[in-house]
Amino acid sequence: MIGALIRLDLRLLLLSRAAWLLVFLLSGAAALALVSGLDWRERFVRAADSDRSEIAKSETELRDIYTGMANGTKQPTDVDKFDGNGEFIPDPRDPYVAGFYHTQLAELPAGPLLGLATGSSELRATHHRIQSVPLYTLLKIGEPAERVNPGALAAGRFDLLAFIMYLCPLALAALLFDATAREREGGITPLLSGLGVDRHRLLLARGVVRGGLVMMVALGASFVGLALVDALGSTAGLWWLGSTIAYLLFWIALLLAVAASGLSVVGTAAVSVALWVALLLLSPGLTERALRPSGLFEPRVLADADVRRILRETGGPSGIEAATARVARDYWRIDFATAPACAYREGVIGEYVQRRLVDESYARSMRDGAERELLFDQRLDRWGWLSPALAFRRAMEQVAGSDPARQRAFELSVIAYHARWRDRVTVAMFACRRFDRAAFEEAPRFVWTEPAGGATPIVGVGVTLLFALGLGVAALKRRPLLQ
Amino acid sequence: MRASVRLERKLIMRDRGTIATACLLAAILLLSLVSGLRADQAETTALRSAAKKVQAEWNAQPPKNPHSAAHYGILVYRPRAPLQAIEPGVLPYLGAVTFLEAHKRNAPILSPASVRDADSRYGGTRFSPMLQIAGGFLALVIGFLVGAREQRRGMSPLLRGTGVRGAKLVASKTIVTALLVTLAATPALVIAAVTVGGGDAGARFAALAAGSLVHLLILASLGVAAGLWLGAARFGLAAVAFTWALGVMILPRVVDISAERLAPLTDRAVAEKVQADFKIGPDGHGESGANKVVEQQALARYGVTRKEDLPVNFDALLMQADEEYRGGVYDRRLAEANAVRERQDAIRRIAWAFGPTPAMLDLSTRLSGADAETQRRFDVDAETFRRTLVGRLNRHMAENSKTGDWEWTPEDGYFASFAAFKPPTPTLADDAAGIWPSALVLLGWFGLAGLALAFAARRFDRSARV
Repeated sequence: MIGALIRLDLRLLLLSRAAWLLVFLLSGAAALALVSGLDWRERFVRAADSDRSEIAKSETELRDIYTGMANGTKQPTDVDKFDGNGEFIPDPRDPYVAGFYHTQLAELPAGPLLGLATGSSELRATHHRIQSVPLYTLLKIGEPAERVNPGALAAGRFDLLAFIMYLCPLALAALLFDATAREREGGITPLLSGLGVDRHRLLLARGVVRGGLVMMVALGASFVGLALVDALGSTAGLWWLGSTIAYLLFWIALLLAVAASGLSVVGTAAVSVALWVALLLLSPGLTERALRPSGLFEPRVLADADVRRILRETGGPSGIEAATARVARDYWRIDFATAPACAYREGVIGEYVQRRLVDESYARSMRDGAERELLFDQRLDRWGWLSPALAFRRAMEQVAGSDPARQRAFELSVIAYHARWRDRVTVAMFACRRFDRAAFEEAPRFVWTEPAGGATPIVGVGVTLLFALGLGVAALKRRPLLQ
Repeated sequence: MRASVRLERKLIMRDRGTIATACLLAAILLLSLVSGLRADQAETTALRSAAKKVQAEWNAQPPKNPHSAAHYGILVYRPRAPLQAIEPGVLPYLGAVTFLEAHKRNAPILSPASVRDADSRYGGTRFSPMLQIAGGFLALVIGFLVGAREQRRGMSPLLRGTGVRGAKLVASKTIVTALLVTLAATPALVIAAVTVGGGDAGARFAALAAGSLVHLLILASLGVAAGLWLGAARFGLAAVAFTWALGVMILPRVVDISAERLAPLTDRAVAEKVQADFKIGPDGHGESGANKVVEQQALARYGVTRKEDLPVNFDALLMQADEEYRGGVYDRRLAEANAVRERQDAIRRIAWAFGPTPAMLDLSTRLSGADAETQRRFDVDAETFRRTLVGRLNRHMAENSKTGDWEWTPEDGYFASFAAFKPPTPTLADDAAGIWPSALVLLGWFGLAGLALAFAARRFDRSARV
C-alpha cells in the first residue's frame, strides 16, 4: 500500500508544473548558494596574500644583510648613531631594530568547510602582521582585513547553510502543508478510505516523496559543496551531512504534524508559514538576545581609550621615569641600577615601557571581552536548543570552522604570540645579546592550533533529531483518514 | 461595493487560518519591538561614557608639545541613530569609533557586530526588518489565501453565477486584506510611536510607518492577484512563497556578489594608492624632496635666508604642510573609493526590480538614519574635526615657539580650550536625497500591484463570460 501511495504521489508531482518550477528554483538557489559561499572562501584565503609576500620579501632582505655582513659586502647602520642622513641598512642583530624589521604573519586558515557556512568569518580578522610594536596597532580590535559593501554585509551572505536553513524548510512547507487537507476539502477522502488508505500511510508517503525531494536537492548540493572544498569523507563533511539530514527530518516531521492536525487547507497553510517565520526569522534572534550577557562590547570600547590614557600619562619625562621603574619591577623583573649598563638603552627604553603598559592594558581588555563571549557561548550551549534553527546554525558554523569561538581563539593566540615576540626582543636587549643568523632563523613562528571541539554539534544535532522523532511519532499515529 | 466588502469581511472573520496568521503577525511585531527596544542600550551607554572619559582626559592632559598632543590624538564615537532600536540598519556592521591623530585619517573601527553578531542577518529581530520581511511575507500569504478562497473551495462557478464584477470582487478582497494586515500591525506601530516620541525621530517614524503600510498593502494586493490567478493550482501557494523568497532572500544576494565583481574595491588597494601619494609630498617626520619646497616658500614669505631666522617654528609649519597635503590625498583617494562604492550600490539597486521588499528595506534604513550615508557623514565630520584640531595645534606651536624647540609647551588650560567633537545630527530633510529613489520605486510597485489587481479582475470577468 505504501509503495503504491508513494508512486501515486510521485506521479502527481511529475504532472504538476508548479512542482517542477519549485524544483528548478530550489536547484538554482542551491547552485547560487554554492557560488556565493565559495566566492567568499576564495577571498578569505587570499586576504593575507599581499602581507605574506611582503613579509617573505622582508625576511629575504634581512637574510641578504646577514650574508652581506658575513662576506663583508654589507655594513649595517648603527641605529644609536644614525642622524637621519644617508642610506639606513637595518641591523637584524640588534634586538631593537629586529623588533621593527623582523615581521611574522599570524594567519587563521580557512575552516574545513568555510564556503558552505560563512558564519562570523566576514566580521573579524583573518590575519595579523606581528612585530614588536604595540599590540593594539596590530589587532585593530579584530577588524576584518577585507571590508564588504556595508549593505551587502548587513543583508548576510547567501551560502549553503542559508539555503538549507531557510529555503529548504520553505520548500517543505510549500509541498507538505496540504498533505491531507486538500483531499479532505476536495471530497475524495471517502474514496481513499474505501481503498484502505489511512492518514498515517498517506502522510508517510507524502513525507517520503516530497520531503525526499527537498532532502535530495539539499544533500546533492552539500555533496557538491563538500567536493569543492575538498572535504568529502572528512569528519566535518560527515557532520555536515548528518546535521542536514537531522534538520530536514525535523522540518518534515513538524510539517507532517501540522498536516495531520485536521485543519483546513487555509489553516495548515497559515500554520506552516507561521512556523517558518517564527522558528527561522524570530526565535534564533530572540533566544540569542535573551541569553546575551552584558559587557560583550564595553571592554573593547574602553580598550582603546585606556591605551590613549596610558600613552598621554607616560608621554612626558616625569611620567616615563615612574613608569619605567614600575615596568622594570612588575614585568621585566630587572633592576637597572645593578644590571649591566648596556641593558639600559636610554634612547629606546621609554618606548618599550609604553609598549608594555599599553599591551598589558589592551590584552586584559581583549581577554575580558573574550571571557564574556565565552559565557555567552556557554549559555547558548545550554539553552540554544530552545530554538532548533539556532542550534542547527551554531552546529553547522562550528563544523565549518566559521564560528565566533574559533575566531576568538585565533585572537587570543595572536595576543599570546605577540607577547612572546615582544619579550624575545626585550629579553635580548636586557641581556645585551644580539641575534645571530641562527637565532634569526630559529625565531618562533606563529602556529595555529585548532581549538578542541565543544559539544555544540552533538547537542544541536541530537536535540534536533529528538524533536524530529517526537514530532514524527505524533504525526504518524495510526488514525483513519475519515476521523 | 459596500455589500461586497461586508461579505468579504464576514468570510475573513470566519476563516480561522487567516485570522490566526494575522494574530501571529501582530504577535511577532510586538515581540520584535519589545525585544529591540533595549537591545543596544548597553552599546550606546558604553560609547557615550567612553566619549566623556576621553574628552575629560584630553582636557586634563599634562603639559606637552602641541604636536605631540596631536600624535596622542583623541577618540570620537558614533552617535546613536534616531530610530536605532527599531531599525539598526547597516550600523552594527560598521566601525563606531575613530581614532583622530596627526598625519593620518583612520577608518572607524569596532563594529558592534564584530564582537558578536547577535541578530540573524536574514531579517534580524528588530521591529522594522521584521515588519518588512516577516510582515510582508504574511501579508502576501493572507492576500493569496483570501484571493484563492473561492477557487480552492470549488465555489468559483457559484460566484460567477451571482454576476459580481471582477473589479468589485478584487477591490473588496484587497480592501479587507489591507484592513486586516493594518489592524495586525497597528498595536506594534502605536507602541513604537509612543516610545519614539516627537521631533525629528517622530517624523522619521511617521514616514517609516506610512512606507511600511504601503509595502504591506502592495504585498497583500499581489497576494490577492496571485490567489485569483493561481488559486486552483495545487502548488500555487508554493510558487508564490518561492517567488517571494527569490525576490527577498536570493536575488538581492546574487546582485550583491555581482556588484562586488563588477566594481571591485579593496581597502588594501586604497591604502596602497594613499601610501604611494604620500611619498611625493611633504613629510613632517621624514625626508622628502617636497620638504625643501615648503622651506623655500617659508623663507621667501618671511624674507629670511635661514630656518633659524624665521620668526615662527618651521617644524610646525612643515607638520601643517604635511597635514594639508595628506588631507588632499585622502580626499582624492577616498572620493575615488566612494565612487566605486556608489557604483556597487547602483548595481545593488537592481534587486529592487525583483520585489518591493528590497526597496522597502533600503527605505527603512534611510528613514531611520541607519544607512551607509550616516556612517559616511560621521566619518567626514570626524575628519573635519581632526583637521581643525591638528591645524590649531600646529599653528599654535608655529606662532609661539622657535624652530627646533620641541620642548616648548603651551600655557596651562590650553588643551581644555578645545571644544569636544559634536557628532552630526542630520534631520529627515537632510536625508531626503537618499530617501527618494527607494520611495519612488516603492510607489512604482504600488502602481504595479494595482495593475496586477486590474489584470486579475479582467481575467475573472472573462472567465465569467465563458
